[in-house]
Amino acid sequence: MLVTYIEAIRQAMDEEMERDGNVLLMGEDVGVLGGAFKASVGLQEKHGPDRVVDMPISESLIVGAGIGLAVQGMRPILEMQFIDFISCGFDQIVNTAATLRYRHGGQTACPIVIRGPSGGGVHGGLYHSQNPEAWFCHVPGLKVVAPATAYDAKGLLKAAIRDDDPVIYFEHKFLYRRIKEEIPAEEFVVPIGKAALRKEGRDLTVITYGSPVHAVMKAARDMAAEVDIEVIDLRTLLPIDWATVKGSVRKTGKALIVHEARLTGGIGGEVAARIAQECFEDLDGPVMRLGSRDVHTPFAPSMEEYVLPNQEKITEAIRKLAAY
Amino acid sequence: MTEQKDRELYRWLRLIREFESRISTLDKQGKLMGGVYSGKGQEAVTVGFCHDLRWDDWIFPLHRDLGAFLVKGADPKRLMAQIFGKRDGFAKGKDSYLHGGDLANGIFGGTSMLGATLPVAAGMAYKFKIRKEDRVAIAFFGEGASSRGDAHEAMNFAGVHRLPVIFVCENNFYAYSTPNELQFGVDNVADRAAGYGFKGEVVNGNDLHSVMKTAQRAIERARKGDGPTLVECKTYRYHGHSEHDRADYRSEEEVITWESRDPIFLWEIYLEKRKYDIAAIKKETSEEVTRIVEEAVAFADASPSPDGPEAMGDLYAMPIDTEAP
Amino acid sequence: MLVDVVMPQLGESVVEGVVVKWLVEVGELVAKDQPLLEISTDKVDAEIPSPTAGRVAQILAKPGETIPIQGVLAKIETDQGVVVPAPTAAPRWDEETEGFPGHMARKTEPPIPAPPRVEPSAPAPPPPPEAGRIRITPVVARMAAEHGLDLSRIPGTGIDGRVTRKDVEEYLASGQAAAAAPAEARPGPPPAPAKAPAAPPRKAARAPKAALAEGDRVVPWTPIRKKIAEHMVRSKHTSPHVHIFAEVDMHRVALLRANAKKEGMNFTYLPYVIQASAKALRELPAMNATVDDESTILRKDIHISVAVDTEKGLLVPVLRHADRISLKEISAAMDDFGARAKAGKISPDELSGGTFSITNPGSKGNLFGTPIINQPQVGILRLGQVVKRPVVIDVAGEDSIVIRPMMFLCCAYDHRVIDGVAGNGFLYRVREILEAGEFS
Repeated sequence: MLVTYIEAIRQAMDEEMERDGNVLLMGEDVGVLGGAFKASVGLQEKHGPDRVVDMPISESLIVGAGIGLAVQGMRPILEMQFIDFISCGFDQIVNTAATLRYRHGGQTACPIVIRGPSGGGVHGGLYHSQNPEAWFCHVPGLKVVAPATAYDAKGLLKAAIRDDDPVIYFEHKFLYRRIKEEIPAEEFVVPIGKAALRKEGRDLTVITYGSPVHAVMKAARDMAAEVDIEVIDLRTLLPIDWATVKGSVRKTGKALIVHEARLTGGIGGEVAARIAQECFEDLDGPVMRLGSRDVHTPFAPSMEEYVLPNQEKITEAIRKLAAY
Repeated sequence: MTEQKDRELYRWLRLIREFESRISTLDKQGKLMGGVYSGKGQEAVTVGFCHDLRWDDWIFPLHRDLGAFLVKGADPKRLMAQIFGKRDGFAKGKDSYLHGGDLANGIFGGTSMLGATLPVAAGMAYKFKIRKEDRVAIAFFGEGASSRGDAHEAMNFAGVHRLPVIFVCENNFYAYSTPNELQFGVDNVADRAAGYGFKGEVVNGNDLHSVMKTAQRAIERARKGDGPTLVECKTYRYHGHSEHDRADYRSEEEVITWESRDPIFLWEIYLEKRKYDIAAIKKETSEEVTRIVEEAVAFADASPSPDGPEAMGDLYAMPIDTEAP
Repeated sequence: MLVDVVMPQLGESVVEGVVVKWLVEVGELVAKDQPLLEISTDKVDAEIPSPTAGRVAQILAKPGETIPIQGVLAKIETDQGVVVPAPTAAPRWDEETEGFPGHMARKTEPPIPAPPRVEPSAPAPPPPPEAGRIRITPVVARMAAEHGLDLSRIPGTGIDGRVTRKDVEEYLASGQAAAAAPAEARPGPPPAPAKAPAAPPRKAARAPKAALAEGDRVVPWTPIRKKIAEHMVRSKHTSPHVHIFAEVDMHRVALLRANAKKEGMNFTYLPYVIQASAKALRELPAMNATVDDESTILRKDIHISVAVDTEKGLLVPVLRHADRISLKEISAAMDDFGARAKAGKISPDELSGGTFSITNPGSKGNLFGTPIINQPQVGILRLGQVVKRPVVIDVAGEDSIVIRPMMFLCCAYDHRVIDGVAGNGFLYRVREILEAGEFS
């Protein structure tokens, strides 16, 4: 069936709530309104207000309460209206959820999913454009995923809901209605921790995730005559599928990491470091990264364009690495 | 009050209304990008609290308090440029709407993390106190933001030190779609003031007289060193949460009921009862506010868009080199 | 002038809107902000106000049609007089504006001190690339080592003329490499063929794919092990090996050893074989050679690489001018190599420059074995175990069976360079010398 990225998210929540009575959704305006982006339209009507809960404006509460439910065997999905607001629930995530199992010596699980719209390119300004995934990849005990396709959006959300550990699920709002894709009508799950090889190639590996996957794929198609690009969509950012990453880089000898999040301290740094250390003798060029410039994502379109990676910058980076 | 002041207040109400109407229209004409959060219907709150402030007092408006910017002294042209995301805006295009404050006029820009400005206002008031300055800080917030820990933490601290800060809760009954009964368990947000050890007041936020009287009391209390006040103004926004919100979660009847209590409409009745020449005032005011807004739009339209590399400015006192070759 | 009516973006994720119905017709006069049409998006329904006053010139989208944001819906023909001319000077806001009557009185002192204005500085241009330095990537370095390539011979197509992996692959595929001599074979100062001990640690071992049973132990290759492995494989790929065998009667050598022992010198068989080989190489120089590209370099000096076993793996230090030194000196050198190899104190220089190799697996070396040529040399000799065996010899014109210490010598030669006559002649001569005991 043909679905948008956001409809895939809605379906995953709906199907999981139907499959498992312990799954519930909590967040600001998720009920009557169906979510600020309409990700949960119809779910309260179908599953009732006890299981699709309109919460006060308090991300710390939403996460903390979700943890309490989880310890009782429930599987809460916790929506951040914009992922930018996740910082308001930061303490509960990194200090309560991430450490829960550890400091109880494995006595309990913490099956929560925290999901919300991330990403820029929509003139959202400083607080509606953020990509804070790297903050959470620094925290042991969490899992972090970032789907780029409607198929993965659905499959990974199902996997996240069924996972016994806290999973932070970054959905990209730029893709919500721009991605329309055929997905199977039957049940499927995308495993956490597995990257997707989006395109095979011999000359150069581009490792990416989230919204830039589409721009990288376009570059791979457009530049096919000059360079044969292999594209890896990480999908899961914690834990990263190192086997796929290293296997590809050993083959091509060149790696470029592209993400929308800021360059400094971004996932790309970690990926680059591992490649440099573990694939050193197979490298035929410097490990390169492309991310947002080290500044907040500004509002004015001209500046936003300057700050975020785009088609042109991706093409330029690929060309630079290919020439090496 | 003098006729001059009555008319002035009327002009402020009308200017805010005209300004916000124009923004909504521009948004639908595809001239604006980003969110537009109309405060149409809530004008009396910002006019009432800001009009009698001094220039060196500070306000902390939230996303719907565009009126507070205007009354506190922000240039309408720059404010419009700010909303257009242009170089002449307070944020020079780096963010839009009310995230960029006009610090020279004592207007602090808020973030999207509602309630986050309250601790900042408390901190500023602490400085006024320890430096023995008779200034006040006013933090505006919605009833939704009252659920944030930040709101509690700020009020607690303000109570401890009896700070010259006023917490103004604009309770418009919906936080996006979430109604009061799903937001808090008390009758009034202002009831919580007792828990922090200072005075809480509830006021009809559409009645400019009531708002002003309450505001004056609270401001005087703060200036004299008698501590903070939590004022809850019951009011209503006519538009949805933003221009792309249908606001299906409330009834037409409810909206019409509130429209019949419109703050401008009420003030016009007052002016009429004072036997001023209401027809002339209306005509004169309409022409004036239309002119100011049109000039602001023309200015904002002509204001240059920032160049891409300007994005890197204003990040540090001295730029740091993060992109060394 | 025609002014576009466009689809607005009502919401961050909204990408398109649907035209519901038109409220005006083509040719109709409209006022500024007059609603023109109704649209519907995923999130909201809205009436679109006219951006200007004028006449509806064109309607470009039909009801039911989906139009992307900023897509043109209609065009309005404006009255020229209505258009506000663009300001000639850049607009300014009035720093001291009173904005509106009733504006609060300003004090002279601002609420906050003005922040210092700091202009961003332009980044400095990158420094020019260092001249004269050959830059290669790690994979190219590795491939060069594996295939014994001289990178200066490979044309580079990368940035600043860098030799890329592709360049090396193409060079190898072109066949030039197969015939190419390793770097150390070129005339001039001998570079190191086997720098293993001094080489930096190589990439971490890859996890074995084989299934492991309980108690199985995974021993990742050490750098020296990898170097040996690469070298062995390369040699087998490069040279067609011919192995020939000689059965040598070590009777004379055994007597000489016994005599030496009486003089306090404890020689093994090895120094005798080294000296015999050196002598044979001097007489028959075809085997004292290295290969460079499509040439054989017949070496003037005889430098014999001698395999020494260590805990970490095989090392092959070079005994220089083996034909000019005495048995005693050879024996002392062997003891020295052994001790220093164990201590890891053989310098890389001592491992390079050999012209022929000898390997002695020692007392437990078994009957015979077939050695692998130490590239770029063309021959190698392997000692088998010395065993006492009944042999038939001629004693005073009569066949007699006697007991003799016998040893199989195996010689491998590179058939690209050495033909049967030369190869067999060499080994035969070594045997003669050993059996005759012609030592100095």
